[in-house]
Amino acid sequence: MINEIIQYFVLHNIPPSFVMIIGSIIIPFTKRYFRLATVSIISAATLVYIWQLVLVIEVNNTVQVKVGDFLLSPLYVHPYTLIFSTAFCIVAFAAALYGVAQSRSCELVAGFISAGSAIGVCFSGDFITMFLYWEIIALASCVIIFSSKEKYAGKAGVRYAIIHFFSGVLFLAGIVAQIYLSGSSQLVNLYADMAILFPGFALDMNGIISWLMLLGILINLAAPPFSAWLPDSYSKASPAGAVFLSAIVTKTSIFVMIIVFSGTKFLAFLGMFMVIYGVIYALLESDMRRLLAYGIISQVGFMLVGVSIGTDMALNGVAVLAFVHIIYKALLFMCAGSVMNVTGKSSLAELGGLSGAMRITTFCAFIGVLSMLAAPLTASFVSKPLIIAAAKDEGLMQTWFILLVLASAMVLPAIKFQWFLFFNRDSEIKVSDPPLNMVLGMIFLAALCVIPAMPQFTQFTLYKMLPSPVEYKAYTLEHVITDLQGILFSAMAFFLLLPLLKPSKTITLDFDWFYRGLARYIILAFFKISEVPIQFIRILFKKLIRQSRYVLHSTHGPGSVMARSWAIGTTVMWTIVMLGVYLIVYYFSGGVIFPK
Amino acid sequence: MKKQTSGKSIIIVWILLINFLGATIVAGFIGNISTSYNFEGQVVFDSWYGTIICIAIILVAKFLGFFLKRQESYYKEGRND
Repeated sequence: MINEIIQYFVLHNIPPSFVMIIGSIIIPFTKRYFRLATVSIISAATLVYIWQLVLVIEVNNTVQVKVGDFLLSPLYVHPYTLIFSTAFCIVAFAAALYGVAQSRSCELVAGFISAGSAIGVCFSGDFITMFLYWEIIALASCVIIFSSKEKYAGKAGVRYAIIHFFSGVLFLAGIVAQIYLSGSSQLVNLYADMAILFPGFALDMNGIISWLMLLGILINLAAPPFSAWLPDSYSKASPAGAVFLSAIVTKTSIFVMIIVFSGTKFLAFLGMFMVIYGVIYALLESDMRRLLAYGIISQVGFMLVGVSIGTDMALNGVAVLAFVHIIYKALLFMCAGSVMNVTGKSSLAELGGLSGAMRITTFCAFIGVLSMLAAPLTASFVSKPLIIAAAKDEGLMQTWFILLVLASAMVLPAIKFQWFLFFNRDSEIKVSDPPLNMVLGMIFLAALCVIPAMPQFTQFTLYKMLPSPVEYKAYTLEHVITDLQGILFSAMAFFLLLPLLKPSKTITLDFDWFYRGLARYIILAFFKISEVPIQFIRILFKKLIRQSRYVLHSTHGPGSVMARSWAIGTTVMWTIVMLGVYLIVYYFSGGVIFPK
Repeated sequence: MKKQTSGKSIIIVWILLINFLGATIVAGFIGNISTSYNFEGQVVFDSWYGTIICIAIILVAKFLGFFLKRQESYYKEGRND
């Protein structure tokens, strides 16, 4: 029967995103005990349908639907559709399993809508469909943040909404211009040329379109200076909400970058800057979830370098790294969320020494951290080196060297998270491992961090989802040894300078200071300055009123000239005088007082 | 819950680090590691450059921290202005 249902969906070209989005509507109506079964069925059905669909529709083929004057492609199989949509499906299930007992139903629904829309983006063949799903992701993410019971989540949600709707406007402007100029809404590969920034070059309309779209996507990617929304909002979401957010938003943007902007060279510099920026801010952070959020920026920067290289090997590396990153980052957010759930704290300055009490969480976090380090036998070990090797193959010696350096630097936040949260000093907080559903979620993702990375499984799991065969051999003696040396010596640097890295009860100013700090001061200063003329006008007005009252009172008030009772004789005399004046004027004006 | 002292944990970490580092360095000498670039052929290249870069980044982060760190109540989220 299941096969028949799938065949029916395939025959009627129903996008896989519909399965997850419409299926999520059932969640609030199911009892809490059956919610796990519901989310499992929805996720499994979507995943099976995706894999069946990709078999039926070949890569770079599409199903088109005419809507008004536009030809939409809601079912287009890109080369990397399968790997990204599979990752979104898996993490949606894992996040729902993790939060099924603790999260509000609206949050789970929003999470599934967000994941379903991300799948929709993966299957979009035109800009209009992609944009619709893009905005649904933004809306659903706002709901996830607003659903949180964390302090000040509402304000973080408002900031998130403003930034993402702004990015949507930029993206839409680029899309509208693209459709207007080209006459088609089909997805094309664009190239954002740096030339548009330099004087002397003609202002190219194609360049403007590219830049509008690129800026819109870069904001979603948390590229500096539009990066502060990520740690701001992810740290305010609930434990399960943060898992959804960490997997969906930025990785969807990476997918769009692969489709639309692969090969854009200057992205390499931006990506490298993002890696360093993410690492430095992660080292400065005390909040464990903000630390992980900056880790996301760092890893996304690494992927951006791969996108800029643009070769098959580089893009394969980006896709596999994105898949792996979705899994292990979700795992790390789960571990952080578990600690928050049982301790009620999120600052590394107040936590520590939890490894004895939260053994399962510590172990799962350790697996996640090893993945982040790209240690052997973890999924990152077979993904990150693809990008580095692609740079080497292209003869990009400087890029290759910088990527090696950056890969070493990315070790630091991972070790900081693990060390200060689970080891270091004993915070003397009496806790235990979190509830069973949270533990199961963590174990599920920890297994996925390791099993596909086994030498005998990689070709049949991760690499199988790629459009072209991967010739790269990860498990060579050279690679294992150099990788271990890089990690261990970077760890040595961390422990050598450990006293400098102790977390403190502080926050770190980021680019959001410009609109949360500076803008507030400017507006307050504006109001203070504008009080001066307003006060002046107020005082002047009061004086005028007072003077007018005095004059009126003195002329028309009780006992004043106009209010006095006059004698009859005086009244008659003045009446006669006024009439006399009127007669004289009338006589001398020829009988015309007011000419026509 | 078993108490763990920071000092004891660090000692264990250093012992493990030194042992594993030594093992990888020895393995690096024994194994036939091919290189494409001259500078990579230096002794334990991956080791020393990673350490130096990480030390540099930590020092830069510490330096930036003097300018960027503020009290937790800096943004005063509780007020309504």
